[in-house]
Amino acid sequence: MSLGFQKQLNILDYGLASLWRRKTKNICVIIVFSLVIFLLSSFQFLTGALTSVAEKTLRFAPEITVQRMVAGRQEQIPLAYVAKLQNIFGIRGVEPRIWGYHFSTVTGANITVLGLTSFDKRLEKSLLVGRLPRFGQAGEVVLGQGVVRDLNLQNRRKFALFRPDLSQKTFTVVAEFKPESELLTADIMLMSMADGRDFFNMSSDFATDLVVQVANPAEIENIARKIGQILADTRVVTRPQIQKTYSLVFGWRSGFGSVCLLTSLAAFIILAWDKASGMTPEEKREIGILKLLGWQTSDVLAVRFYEGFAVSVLALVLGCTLGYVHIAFFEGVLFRPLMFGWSVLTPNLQLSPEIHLTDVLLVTCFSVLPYLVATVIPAWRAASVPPDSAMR
Amino acid sequence: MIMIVLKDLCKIYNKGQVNEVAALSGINLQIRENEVLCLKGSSGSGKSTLLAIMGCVFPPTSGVAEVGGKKLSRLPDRFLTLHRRGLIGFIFQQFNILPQLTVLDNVMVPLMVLGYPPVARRKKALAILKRLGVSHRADFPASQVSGGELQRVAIARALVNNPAIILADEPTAHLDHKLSLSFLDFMMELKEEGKTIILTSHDPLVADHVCVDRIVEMADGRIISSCS
Repeated sequence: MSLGFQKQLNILDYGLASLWRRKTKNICVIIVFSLVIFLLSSFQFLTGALTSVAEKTLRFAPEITVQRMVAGRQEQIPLAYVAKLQNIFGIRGVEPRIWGYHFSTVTGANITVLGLTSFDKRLEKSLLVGRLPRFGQAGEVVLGQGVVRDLNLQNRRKFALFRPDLSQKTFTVVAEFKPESELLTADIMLMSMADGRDFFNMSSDFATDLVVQVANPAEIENIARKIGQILADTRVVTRPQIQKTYSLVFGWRSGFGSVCLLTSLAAFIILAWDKASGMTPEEKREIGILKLLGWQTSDVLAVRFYEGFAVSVLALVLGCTLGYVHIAFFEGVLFRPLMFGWSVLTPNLQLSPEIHLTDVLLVTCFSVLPYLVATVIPAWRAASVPPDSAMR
Repeated sequence: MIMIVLKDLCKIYNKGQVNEVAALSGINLQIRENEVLCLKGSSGSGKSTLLAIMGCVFPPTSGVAEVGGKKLSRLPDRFLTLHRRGLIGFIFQQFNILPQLTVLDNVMVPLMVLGYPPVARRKKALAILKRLGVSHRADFPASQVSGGELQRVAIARALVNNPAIILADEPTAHLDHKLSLSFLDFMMELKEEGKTIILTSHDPLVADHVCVDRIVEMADGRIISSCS
């Protein structure tokens, strides 16, 4: 083993022994530091998990949605518009859709009612527990988990809701959306187009919007542009735009939370800096004695570096592990109000955090590096002066 | 062979500031290899500053200080430390033992940066502690051993890397008569081994001891007398 390497091992040995000698203080630092990292990493993992759930669920979102706009507000779209779109090259199909909200006066929640003319068969396998509604059977619906909870259905499969004219419409639950898709499906009640119209008392010549399927997904933007040109009074929304919107919503919420947490991390780093720069006379004396005994400034710094590195890496591992457990097993309970609080029917989904190297690197950059700087620089200042004070 | 050469040596603390202090001025001194020199003088006479320069702790403000063949004024801090590490052993007035470490760990500290592996440095440190009669205290925390034992630990630490020069600043200031004599007898042993020793002391017991070859008296940062 080379002399230089052995020397570094010896310095590491001295640094770790030094940490152990001040174990009470260092354990307290590790606990507080881990807590801050836990909050930060929880946020990162939660954002990642939510984005991932949104991406998986939005795979079934329509490729293009066409909404009619009147005076800047969305209005019902005439079914005659379907024929205008069918001649555009690249469009595989156009279907009208009913999309509206039913306000529950009992719970104060909004249920999103979705009526379709056809159902994507893939939905049944990947997002549903049960089967899709049959078009011949009036009143068959698929419910999101939030709606099931809100209506307090438990094992009941039949329920009734009021139409706008206060007459009742009876529904039969044929399936529920899987809990893992709750982020986006919690408040949805899916039914046939005919049931949607019946429920909202809508005219049979109109729909809420039109859903367009394209033959080649790479052409979505081109076809959307063409639709916009043909139907000048419409707003054309593409699936990538919806995905981007969700991503921005989570990104904004995560960013807001991260800024708050980074403030607490900064406070901790400032505290660490303050502690390290206000080195006790004993610590300064120790540095002076080590230098008199032949330790170089770089050797003293290496001791502080190894100490800081051990504390911060241990806190990082602990904090990230706690963050993972918080998301995976406690469903991010601390941050639910901030990240999930966008609907009255709060989703209750099971998240599986995905650890990305960039997330871990980000947390490391905002925790380990500042802590190292906060502990090593004051030691460097103390170690850079001649050690004669230790002689007196 | 000349071990230490000091020519027109000056040391000014806080130069150019209102609290400027001229600690040493016009010091000329040569110390031979294997010589034992005692620096006498009242408090504030500059003994400790002179010892610090000879110990490569800091360079002089002006003049020449050559220790072990190297001119200190041209050496940056990094090389002063490297030079000190291989050449000089310090024994301090307050012993400067690290109280949070064990006796053995204290003695091993200088060996750590010399790249000794754990087993070798433990063996070397235990051997020197045994020679000084304190090996039975090896695993004791340094804060729990007596003053006499603590000084022997300090001597062990100064000698563990086998330095050519031993610098001792007021080594008997905190020892009783018996322990002071024991310390001086040990210095005699070191002299017989060929070490160069420089002691600073107020204590007449040190100046009168047979191990001392020369006494240099200082006052107000100057050498006022030198006698063999």
